[in-house]
Amino acid sequence: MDNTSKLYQLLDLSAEKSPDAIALRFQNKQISYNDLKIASEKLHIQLSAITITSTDRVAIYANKSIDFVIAQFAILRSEAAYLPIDANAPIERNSYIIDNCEVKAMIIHKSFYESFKRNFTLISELENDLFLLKSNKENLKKSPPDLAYILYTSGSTGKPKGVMYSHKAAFEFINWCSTTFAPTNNDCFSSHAPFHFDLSIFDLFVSIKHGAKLILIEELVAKQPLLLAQLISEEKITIWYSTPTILNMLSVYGKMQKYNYESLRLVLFAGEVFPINQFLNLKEYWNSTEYFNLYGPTETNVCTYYKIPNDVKSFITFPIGKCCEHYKSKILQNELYISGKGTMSGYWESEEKSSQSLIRDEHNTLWYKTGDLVELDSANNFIFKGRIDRMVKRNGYRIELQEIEQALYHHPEIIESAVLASTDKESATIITAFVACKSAEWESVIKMKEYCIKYLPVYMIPNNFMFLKSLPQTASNKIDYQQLKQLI
Amino acid sequence: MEQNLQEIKESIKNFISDSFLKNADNKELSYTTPLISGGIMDSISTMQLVTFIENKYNFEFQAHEVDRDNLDSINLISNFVASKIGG
Repeated sequence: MDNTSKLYQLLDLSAEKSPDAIALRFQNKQISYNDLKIASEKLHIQLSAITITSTDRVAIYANKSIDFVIAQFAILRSEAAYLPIDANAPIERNSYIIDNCEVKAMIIHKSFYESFKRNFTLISELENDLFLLKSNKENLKKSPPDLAYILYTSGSTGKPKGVMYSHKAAFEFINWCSTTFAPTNNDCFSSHAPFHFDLSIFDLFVSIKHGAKLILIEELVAKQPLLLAQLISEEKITIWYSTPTILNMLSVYGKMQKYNYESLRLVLFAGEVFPINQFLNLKEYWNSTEYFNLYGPTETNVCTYYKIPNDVKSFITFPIGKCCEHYKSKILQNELYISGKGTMSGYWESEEKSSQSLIRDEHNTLWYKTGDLVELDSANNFIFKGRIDRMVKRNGYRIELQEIEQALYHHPEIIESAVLASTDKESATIITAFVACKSAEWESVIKMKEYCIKYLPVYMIPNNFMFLKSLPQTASNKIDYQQLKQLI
Repeated sequence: MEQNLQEIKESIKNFISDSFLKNADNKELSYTTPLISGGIMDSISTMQLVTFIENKYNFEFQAHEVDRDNLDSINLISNFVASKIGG
């Protein structure tokens, strides 16, 4: 009976069922399902006019807004893949992503247009200060079949890498969410995560599928707990999804005692470990909601889940739970492997990396190698134990420490750099950069942070800098990370 | 009042440099150093500063007052604090 195979059809079905229901709210604006559908059709016509088709990628470079969602659905409607850009990240990193992804067109806020003038042609001015640009490049690479979106994430080579998702894989996840969380058209979802972050897939497509209302939360409010605590209450949000960092920030700084949260029925968290004591703080304010700990790298989206029981006093840490019903899992040398139709199609233009992460077993089954070390507890729930490599999580964002090192090496005055992560007493990730500069003049934490903010997203800026004359080396002339660890 | 403002500036400066600029030379931090836009304070450190100010100066920030316009430098913060406690 269910013959939807493309994500934009979720919008069309809901628009048919309840055209006048509110689909999105943002600041003081809102848009109905029917109007959202019509707006995305209009933009789709413009995309067709510049021959956007299923083999193309189209970037969206803007802050969160209703127009961003219109653009996503317009691109999906043309059966091209959308590439969401973090408008708050440095232009240099974003230019790399846009270039690497070989987008054919871009929908961009005019405030960012200047940097792309040379490589793109302005096709038309859209509403609300957005421009439609077309790439001047020819013979662009073709997308694999059924590609829906590409999310760039930190890469261990020092450059971001693109995780490719097909419509089919996205549907596996969305349908699992329908079964597991049973949302209805009376629900009001939060869209807290930015659209370049994989948490947004749940927010957007699950709410649209069920004809629910989605509250788009702008970046400035999303990180400001006083405004956020107020918004969740005033918008009567029923389903919340964010990282534990945000939930903890809300309960510590949000002055939540001022507000009423009786609408809230479901709270999902993912992206990092939620310390039990912080969870209990939150529960003081949100006492009657259900909680789920969701786990999964961008490459699989959610692949294990754990419903938090009422009594958590005996826990040391929350399990990441059991494998989602649409996936299979196995543990090989303590590492978690995931198999199923919900995984990514591969990394954009990186066959080698794809084949290192997506591995075929002797039965010809494809497994995604997560790089996460896990154990099973007595109830057969997975417990997260750490990483096999240098990837760390901060505020739910994944960071390859090599990417920070690469950015530091880019600085003309830095001779050597090494970056290490540790955790503080509240189990937050602390990033320390060890740097050797050519002259003492550059041995300044303030100057280093000012430099980093030009080349790295805010969540990657090291907390601490330590200046050394030279970095210690191992016998084989590599940087001695063990010795540096002693200095933290 | 002038004296008062200077005291506020020094007190905020000490808090920022002790809390968010470990191993840094205090002399580099000026009253105009960009704090949020310069990558020195993120959203959590901003809230730590807000809590420090609320406790020390005994007033409450309105939700919309916690923003870059009031908090991006020691000068901005101190002027904001002075306006709150002075009037």
